[in-house]
Amino acid sequence: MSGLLELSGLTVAFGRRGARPVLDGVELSVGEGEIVGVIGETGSGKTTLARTAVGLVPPRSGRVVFDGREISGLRGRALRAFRRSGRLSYAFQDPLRALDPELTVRRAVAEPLAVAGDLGDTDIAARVAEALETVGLDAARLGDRPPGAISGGQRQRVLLARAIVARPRLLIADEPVSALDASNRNRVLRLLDRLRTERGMAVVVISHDLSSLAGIADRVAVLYRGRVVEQGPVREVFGRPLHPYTALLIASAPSVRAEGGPGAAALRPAADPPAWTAREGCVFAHRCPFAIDACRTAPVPAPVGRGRTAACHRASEWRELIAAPVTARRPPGTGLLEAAP
Amino acid sequence: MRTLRRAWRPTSAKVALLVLLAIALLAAFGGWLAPHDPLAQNPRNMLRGPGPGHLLGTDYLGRDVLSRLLEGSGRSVAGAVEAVAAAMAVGVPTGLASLWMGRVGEWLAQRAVDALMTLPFTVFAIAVVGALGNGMHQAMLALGVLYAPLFFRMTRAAGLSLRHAQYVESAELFGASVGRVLRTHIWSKVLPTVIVTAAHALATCLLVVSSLTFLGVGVQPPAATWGGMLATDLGFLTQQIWAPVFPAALIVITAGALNLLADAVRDAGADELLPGGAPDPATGSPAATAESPDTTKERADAALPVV
Repeated sequence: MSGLLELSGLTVAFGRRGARPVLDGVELSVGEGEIVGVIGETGSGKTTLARTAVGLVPPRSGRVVFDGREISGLRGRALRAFRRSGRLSYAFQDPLRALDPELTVRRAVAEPLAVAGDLGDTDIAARVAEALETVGLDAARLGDRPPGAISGGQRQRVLLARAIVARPRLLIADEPVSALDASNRNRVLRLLDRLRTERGMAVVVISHDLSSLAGIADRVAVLYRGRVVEQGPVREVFGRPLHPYTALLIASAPSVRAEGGPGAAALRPAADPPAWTAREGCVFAHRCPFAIDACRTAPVPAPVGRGRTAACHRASEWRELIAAPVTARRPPGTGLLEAAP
Repeated sequence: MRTLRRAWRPTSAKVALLVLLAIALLAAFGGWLAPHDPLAQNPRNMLRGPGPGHLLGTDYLGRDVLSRLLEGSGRSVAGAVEAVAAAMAVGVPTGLASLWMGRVGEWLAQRAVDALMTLPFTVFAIAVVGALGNGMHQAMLALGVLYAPLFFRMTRAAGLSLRHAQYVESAELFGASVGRVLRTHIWSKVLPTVIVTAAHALATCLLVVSSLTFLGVGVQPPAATWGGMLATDLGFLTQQIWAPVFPAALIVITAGALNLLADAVRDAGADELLPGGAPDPATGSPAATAESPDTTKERADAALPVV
């Protein structure tokens, strides 16, 4: 499959050699006009994945291919020319830090166009007004304010306006909704969906919040400690997870949990996991109730069905292990999570 | 720039500015205002106290102190300004450039600066004067070179946290050139720090000019400077205990006004940091923390007075 953005074998490590990599052999593909969610807990490498994809972090190994061209090796003039084209854009996680406190909203949003330098001032102003309008901001009222003088939700949308002002083909949005209240969150998510349908823009949404992805993403990739443990169409992954970690994530988020899926209690790890789990083998082994000796060799993502991969030696078996005894083993205290009608 | 605009607001800043304006006028038109010839000696009228003929008295050669102070102010101020300008011209661009030099370049620049900072000030000034000839400009140039590390470190320390700020990263993602990043994102935030440093350095330079004159380096007698007059007056303390007060007062007032102004700029900058304006590199992405070098040493060094 060849998509718009192809990450292959991406490995990133900070600090000393030999330290555990932040990303380990990540494979991810994003097609034209597709919304791909990347989920995982804090520290799982989501942001590093995004930063590596856009070229802020050099990968130790692996390739980033955008639109058929390897961009991870670009340097100097070629890199600058590619960045100025504005085809790949990245919306940072924290708008307060990603917006210069001294630049007004209008100047901040205009920055990508001003840097590219191929539009006149009037064209830039028109594009900025259009971008602000797209994200639902009143340019006349907010345009001349610094980011410190607008609300958090507005700032988040200014960041999005800046990310889409150059009309990218792919937007990587890092936790675009995590700092927002429910109404602003839905607004931003609807906006991303609209950009996809109206402009055919592909979007990678990074989130730790499953429910915000469930509504808009076509596919999701689940990251755990720097590895993609599972990947596939959102409905299938959330409906029938193939990896115990995905199952645990879903069991912990009542809003997206499919009826009849395993509960969190059933996925609780053994009291004392084997000592080897800390050093080697499957990244999830130390929390996995189904870990066996085979898990001492790290599983590679293997295709399961159409467009799905899972990195688990027991992807086909673990479900049966809990199917029968789960109700009997369930402790009374977990009733809240289990309360499916 | 907002910082600078805010700095004008407090009364102390306005007073300081007025004082500095007066000093600037004095520097420009002081010689013209002088009631007597500042170099005219009068052996029959030596070491007189303030009186109707000579408002601030006369010195050990019978020269009018007021005239010498007025006439010397231009030379004193110009000297200090020249030294600080030279220091800024060398220190600020290199400090900013060091942010983009990469590991090896940064290391080399830092060691060069360390080496420069170890040079004993007086010895260096005398050496420069020995090599380039004795004169005001040579001495001030030497002073400027010795002050350059201060500006280098201050600029670098102020810029270092901005170098890895997310808005700089995002400008780089748009393909912005280094020059553009410096102009739009870094310069306006480094400027208040540079101004504060310059104000302090100017104040110190006014005093240092005097210690150079004391050694016979730089301005040559009989030309008057505030520092030079202070130095000679100290030799006649037994006869004229009040005499050093006049040049000292001018130096103190100028230095005080500069410090007041610098404080106002610094406070305005501190306000800026409060409502979530400034980026914090320490809590940045893992890449930023892993790559940004430790700045504590530079900050500590920058806080040290040079002289």
